[in-house]
Amino acid sequence: MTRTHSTRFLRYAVLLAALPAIAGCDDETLMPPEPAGGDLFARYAAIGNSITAGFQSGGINDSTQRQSYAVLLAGQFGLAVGREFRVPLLASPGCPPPLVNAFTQERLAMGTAGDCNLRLPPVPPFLSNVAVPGAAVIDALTNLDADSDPNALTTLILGGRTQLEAAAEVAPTFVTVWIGNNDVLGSILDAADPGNPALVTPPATFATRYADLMSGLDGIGSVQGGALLGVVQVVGAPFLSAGLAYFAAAQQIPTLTVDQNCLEVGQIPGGGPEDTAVVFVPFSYGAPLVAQASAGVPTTLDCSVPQVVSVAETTNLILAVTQYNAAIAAEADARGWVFLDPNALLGQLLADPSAIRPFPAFPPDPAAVEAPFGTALSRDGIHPSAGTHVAVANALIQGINAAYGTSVEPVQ
Amino acid sequence: MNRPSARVGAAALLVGLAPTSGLAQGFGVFEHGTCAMGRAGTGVAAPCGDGSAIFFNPAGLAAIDRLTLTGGLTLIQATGSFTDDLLAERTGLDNSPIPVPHVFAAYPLHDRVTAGLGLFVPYGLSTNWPADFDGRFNGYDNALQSIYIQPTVAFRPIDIIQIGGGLDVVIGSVKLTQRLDLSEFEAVPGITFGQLGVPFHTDFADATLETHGATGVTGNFGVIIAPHDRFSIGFRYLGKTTLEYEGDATFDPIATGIVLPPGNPLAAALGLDPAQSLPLDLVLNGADLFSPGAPLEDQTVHTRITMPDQIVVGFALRPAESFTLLFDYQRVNWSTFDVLSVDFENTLTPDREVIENYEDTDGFRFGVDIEVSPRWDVRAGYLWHEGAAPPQTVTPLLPEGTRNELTIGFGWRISDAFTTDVAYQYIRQDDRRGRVTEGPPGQAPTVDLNSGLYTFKGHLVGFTVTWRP
Repeated sequence: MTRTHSTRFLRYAVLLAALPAIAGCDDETLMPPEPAGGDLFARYAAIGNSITAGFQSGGINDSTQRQSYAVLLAGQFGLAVGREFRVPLLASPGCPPPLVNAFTQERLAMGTAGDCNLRLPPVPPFLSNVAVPGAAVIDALTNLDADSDPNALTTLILGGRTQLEAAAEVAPTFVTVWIGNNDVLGSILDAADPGNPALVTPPATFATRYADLMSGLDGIGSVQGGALLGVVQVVGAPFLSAGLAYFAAAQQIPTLTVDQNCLEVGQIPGGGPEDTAVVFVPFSYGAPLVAQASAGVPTTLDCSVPQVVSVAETTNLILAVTQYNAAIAAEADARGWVFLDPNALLGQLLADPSAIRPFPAFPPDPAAVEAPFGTALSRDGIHPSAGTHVAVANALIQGINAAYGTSVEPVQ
Repeated sequence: MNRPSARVGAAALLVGLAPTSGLAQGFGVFEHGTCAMGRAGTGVAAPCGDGSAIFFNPAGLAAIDRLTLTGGLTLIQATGSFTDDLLAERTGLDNSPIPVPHVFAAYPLHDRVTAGLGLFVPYGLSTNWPADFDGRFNGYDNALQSIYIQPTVAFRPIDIIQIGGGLDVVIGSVKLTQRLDLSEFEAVPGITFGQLGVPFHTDFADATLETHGATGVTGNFGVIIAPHDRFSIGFRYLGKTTLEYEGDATFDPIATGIVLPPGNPLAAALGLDPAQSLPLDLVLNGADLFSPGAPLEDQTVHTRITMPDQIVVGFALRPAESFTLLFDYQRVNWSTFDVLSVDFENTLTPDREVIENYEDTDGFRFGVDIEVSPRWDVRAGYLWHEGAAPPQTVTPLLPEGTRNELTIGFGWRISDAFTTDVAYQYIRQDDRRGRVTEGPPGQAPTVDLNSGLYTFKGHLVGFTVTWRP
């Protein structure tokens, strides 16, 4: 072979040899496919409180967590729950275990309200649902402020981070925020003085904290859209029953006397003629009285005691929530985000006696143990049932599709 | 204050000691002579005349008819990255160029017998990831060297057959640096900090294992048969050897900066006031985990790694006087690397078995060597081989996979006594999904842990000087 021939052969050999190396070795198909729901829903984080976390029937565990509207929403966004949308799952029976009977306070697996099972291993690499039961707006911003009210679940879910910090780690493209209920609910749940105005976050303070939260979300830099849910008018929760309901019950229970002060009604300042405030009796206070009377012990319900929510307290609660929601709506408007007022949904449910039934309802519902407050509420009379989570998710989807021109399918 | 248990956390050390290299299957290195490197490492049937036959096929040493002294270096510049699925964030390797030396000496004792001595590094690695890389809990600053020193004898019983063999004395060292993840660490027996909410991948200690001087013995044997002066076939076998490493494991605490809010369950478990916030570092410092006698004290550690055996067969065809075509097939029995055991001296520090389950690999090499002038040779080659790591064991320590490699080289006979060779090799590895974390202790990893994409490329430059006085 001549040198010329050798050189030519070499050139061909090198080119031939180069082909496999030059041919595609980078394989984009090995990366996850484009998000099924589009870039807007590539990464979704849910900020919130007990409802978003999946708290039901006074408890939370991995089963109730999976029923959260946030989890349902993630699925409809095309995110694989457990891989692309991570939930800080709590071991069953829960922390605490959910109630199985509202009247006896029996809990799952014979647990108690003080039981707290820990997180299920393994630890997920990131969290998408960062909501913490009991969190007020300030708790999403800081765990250590004097006004913060962290609890065991704050640590179990966030491990020292705030909701905002945990959400930022996901670099979410879409967020939902449903927080603020506990800025007013704590007042309702105060056993000594439900409705105590001192336990209601002043609306101006609420607005400032909520704005800080939204600024924090803006600061993440990855968020392309979101939905803000308003605060529930907590006096609409069947955990509270109007004095009128007890008055009606007294007609069926001869040994139960309900004072006239339980029928007091007041006009809500700034509202229409139909906007009235009434006396509310918490289930935790009224149920034992009804049980006692039903057992034949003469019992009187006096609505002037601190354990009953007075008309003035009811008015304060309603006005606070109204102002909260105005602030939340303004934040949503400023960003072009969805604002969903859950009270519209609550109103629809209140119109259906099987969905929400105040205590004490007569004649007794045969399903009272299963759904003592109606099918829309879980057994604590405050937190939505699994079915209501579906309704919330679908209401959000409707709003999101309208705002962003998307076509997210509703939850079936 | 109660002391958190170390069962899981300390065991995370050395979860994947498997080293990574940029060159051949697994953590193999094949560039031990620039002449052979230029032709894609082929030559089992016709080794280069620079003494590198001591590695490529000891039988080839029999063809050396005068004292030959060779020294050289291969510089390896590896580039790679990991792109995570969640954020599509890319983290690149921080590797500096790695020098890999080779030294060979050959001396004909008789016209049919040649002796030689070689030093080469057939198994080695170095990987450096940024210290904030998500895979730092598998290892972020790692190095492994297995230096083979091989006295060799080759002879030619008849003209068409050469036989050679050598005894390899192997000297190994390992360095591995990784972070420990507090979320895997037991706060109290049976309960990890992760179950208490401590986030995934919370650094709380930096762990380093460093060993030197592990030794092993094996052999390298080969045969070349040349039934025609323009055609030869070759075979060689490099045996496996298991190196027992003993070294130092050191643990340095890292502050987590985490403050658990009031109401946290850890305070109650430790008998502290649950109404107060709790700096986690206070708990860890109080637990005295790093002091003598504690689970994370600096201590002696033992491990063992088997350098696998490998078989190469091939042929060389010389269709023209100045033109040689070469083909080699190589199989490396990486399946010997199935479980990695790490034994800590402190009984409080749990030992660990990491399931690797490497797979045997096949590689194919094609080379051409052309004598374009009395003083110049031009070489080129292409090789393909599989990755040894199975899909569930592609980690920061060994993010390897199927590779295509291209080589080119030049040989210059400066004088009758001096020859220099230079070569360049380009490595392009198929992108491969992998992981940056271990699964639960005691469980074999699965592909479900894979959370991103590894890429790898390499540029190698070799330079060798041969002196034949």
